[in-house]
Amino acid sequence: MGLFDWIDDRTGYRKLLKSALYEHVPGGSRWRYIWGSTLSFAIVVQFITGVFLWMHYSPSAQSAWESVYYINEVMPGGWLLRGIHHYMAQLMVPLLVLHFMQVIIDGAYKAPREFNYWFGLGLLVLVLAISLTGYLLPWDQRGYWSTKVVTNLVGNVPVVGDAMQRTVVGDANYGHHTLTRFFALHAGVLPALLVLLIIAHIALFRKHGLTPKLPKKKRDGMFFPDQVLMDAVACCVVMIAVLVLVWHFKGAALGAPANPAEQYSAARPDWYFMFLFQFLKLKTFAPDGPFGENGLIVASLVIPGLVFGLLMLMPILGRWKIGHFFNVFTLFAGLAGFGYLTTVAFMKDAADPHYKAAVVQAQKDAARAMELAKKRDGIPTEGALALLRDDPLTQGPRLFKSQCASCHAWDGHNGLGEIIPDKDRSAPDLARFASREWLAGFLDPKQIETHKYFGGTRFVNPPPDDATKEKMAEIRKLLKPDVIPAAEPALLALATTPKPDQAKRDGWIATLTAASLPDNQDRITSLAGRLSAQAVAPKKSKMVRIILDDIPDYTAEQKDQLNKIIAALSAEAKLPLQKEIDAKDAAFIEEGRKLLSDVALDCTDCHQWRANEGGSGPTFEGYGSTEWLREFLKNPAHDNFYGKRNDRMPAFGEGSRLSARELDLLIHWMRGEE
Amino acid sequence: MTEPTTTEPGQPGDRREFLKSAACAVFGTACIIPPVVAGVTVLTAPIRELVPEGVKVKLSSLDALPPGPPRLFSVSVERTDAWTRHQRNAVGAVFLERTGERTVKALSASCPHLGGSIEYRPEQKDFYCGIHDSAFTAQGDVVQPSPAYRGLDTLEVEINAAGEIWVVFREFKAGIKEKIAVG
Ligand code: HEC
Ligand code: HEC
Repeated sequence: MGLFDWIDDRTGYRKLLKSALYEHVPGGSRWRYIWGSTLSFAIVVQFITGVFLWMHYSPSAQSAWESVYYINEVMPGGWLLRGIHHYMAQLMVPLLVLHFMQVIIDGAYKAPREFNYWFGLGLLVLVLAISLTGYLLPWDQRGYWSTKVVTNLVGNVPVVGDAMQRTVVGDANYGHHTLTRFFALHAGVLPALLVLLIIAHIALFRKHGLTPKLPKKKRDGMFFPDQVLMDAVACCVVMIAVLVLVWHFKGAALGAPANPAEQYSAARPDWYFMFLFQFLKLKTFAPDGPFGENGLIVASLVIPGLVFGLLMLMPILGRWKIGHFFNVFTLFAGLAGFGYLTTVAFMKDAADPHYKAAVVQAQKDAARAMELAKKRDGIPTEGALALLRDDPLTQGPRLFKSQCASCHAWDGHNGLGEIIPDKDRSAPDLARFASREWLAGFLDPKQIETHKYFGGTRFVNPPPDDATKEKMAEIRKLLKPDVIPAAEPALLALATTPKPDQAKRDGWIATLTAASLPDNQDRITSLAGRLSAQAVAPKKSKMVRIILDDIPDYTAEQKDQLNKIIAALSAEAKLPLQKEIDAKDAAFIEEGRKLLSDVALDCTDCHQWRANEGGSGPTFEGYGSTEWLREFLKNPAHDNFYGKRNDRMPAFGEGSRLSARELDLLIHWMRGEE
Repeated sequence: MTEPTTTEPGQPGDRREFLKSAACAVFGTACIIPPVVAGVTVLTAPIRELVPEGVKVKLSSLDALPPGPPRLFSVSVERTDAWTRHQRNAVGAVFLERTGERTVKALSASCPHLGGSIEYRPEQKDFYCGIHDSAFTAQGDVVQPSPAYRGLDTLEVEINAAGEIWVVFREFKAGIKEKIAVG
């Protein structure tokens, strides 16, 4: 007696195997029967990869992202493992849909298979619930913020909502217990239910047999080997598709670590839930729509509930021919709706610059967090968020956007990549501030009046003097208040253009009289005439005049001196990006320093330098260095800097707008330091 | 083509069935290989890692360690545990005993039998592991009968000019006669 006989004697496995493999297939094997098997295969793959991931995942607010990072970026083969798990989950949705379509179209849901169909619906819900709970586990910005939307929806369920939300979240706020609960659901409770339902589903499937597609094309066959072969080939195709996806996208993406303090507006659910996301945004459900205050509940609870109820009823309806027809029609209508809403959602995002900027920023943060973790040989115990919190490269641009970008630009954008239009740039562009390139541009007559430098400041566009301002105010009183802003340019031009062209002058006056309150036209005409006759052009600042009037007339020798002075001034900043060139040009820089000490080109008449006390201009001592910037930002109107000439640059002194730590982060970033 | 023998299925139909069954096995196995391989690669990653070098840590100074019975010092090092970078992470304990003017003896407090924690018993003047009753002399040699195969593991000690005591902390494979570093 062989070993297998011995085993068979005691287990009867041969009979079991036989009944499993030699299932009757009416009409023979067909490709259209593969969907159930590929789905089962996908679930098996998720179990295998899931268990291995489980061995390396750590569900807590300080270790979830960190452990996933470690699996993905450090462990050999980890990216492949997580990639297969991730993309198989994505593929399961179309497989589910195909299986569902096959069941409805072939009428496999009809009596006596109602229960099997209902179990199938249960499986569908479970798979979606497992996907949903899995989405949070990496604890990245995307998963965190989009899952928050879902749990808030749960909180809106009438009566029991709050209790349900607390139960799911594990606390009033997201934290450790949210992760432990979601993880237990994702890897324990829901998969166990899934297995039970699958057993019931397959057992019933075996009991009733396969629903043949009529008319039968072939002789009746057996499950093994023909159908099994088709199924196995299909599973290979599914696996290959997953591997191609993993390969193409270089594994599954991991976003920036979840930051409860930083709303992530680009948070989106996985693609197969995008239709629901879009559905919730429909105007019909807005507070001023037909459902009023109940819009949210109708959209998130009532309508999905009705749709699910309809799905449950399908086997009953299917008893009648017309009912079956209705079911098939509903299926396709539903798929069309799904497709439509999904497409709209993706197209809207693709056309939204704000969304795209947020996504790019999140990708940058994610890459930066991983880069820092690698550089520092690990993540501090407080978690990856601490890496980003103390990182100038991450925080600098954000601080710039919130504190400086209302006046300054950074390479033309707001620090985070959103372009600032010229009209909103009223102060110099600060990218590479104090570098040779920046200074050469500042001292260039062609550039100083552009928005990159002083174009938006009063150094270039000085306000009229006080007497003129009074006269302007007098005229303003005679205008209709609502049109004053529109008339302002004409008024200013009139006040600051001496001996203007006659036609222009009349044009400006006409603009003012047109804006006049009733019966004031004559008075305006006379006042405006007087204003124009006494008009004086206000003077641009001394520095701007030097640049516009003196520098173009420099001799070759003076130009050479200016270059040396620029190099010396820029070397004061000790910018990392100029480290090499500063070292290389040491002699050249030394000459520049000497020129400054000798008051060459008069610069240090006004700018403090070593023993020269200077005057009205900002100090050159340590110009652009960390210390200089810190003091400058604390109080730009200090005598060492802009003094009383300060235009609108606010003081960012400690405690006021920026903390000392934030100030340092910002300065380090501006200077290109890590 | 050879003549079909009695053991081989005779009909051409059977032959096709056999090929189909074989194909089932091939495809059925192939589709499940990637997840298994990926998982096993990750799972077995620790096996492929090199034995880490010992870390040198400062445990005490000559002034603070007068001659007398051995004293236990816990060892904390800067280290990365998977993804976490620890500034001070407790990794083990070491007995230090002053043996001369500028000499110190260091013994690992991990039992060479199966890694239990060793205590020093002042009354008996010996080392003892309460897990399987291994006992060692004050010098660290095994006292028979003891389940341990070797004496306590000595560690390398360096004393610098300032009198600081530095120990190269290592772990050794338990349960065997030889002393083989494993970490
Ligand atoms: C008559 C006084 C005066 C002289 C001479 C002068 N400056 Fe200035 N400079 C100023 C003032 C005042 C400012 C502040 C901006 C303004 O008022 O336009 C300034 C601003 C600057 C700035 C911008 C500082 C900043 O970061 O905002 C630079 C750079 C500069 N001067 C360089 C020079 C150089 C180089 C020379 C010599 C060729 C020079 N200045 C000569 C008065 C002077
Ligand atoms: C309300 C507008 C405004 C805001 C906000 C503002 N600045 Fe300024 N800033 C100016 C103006 C105008 C100047 C030109 C010099 C002056 O008026 O003091 C200036 C000058 C500067 C200078 C001197 C160099 C130069 O180009 O002349 C630096 C450096 C600077 N700002 C940095 C910052 C930083 C950093 C922030 C954010 C923390 C900031 N500024 C916020 C308006 C602003």
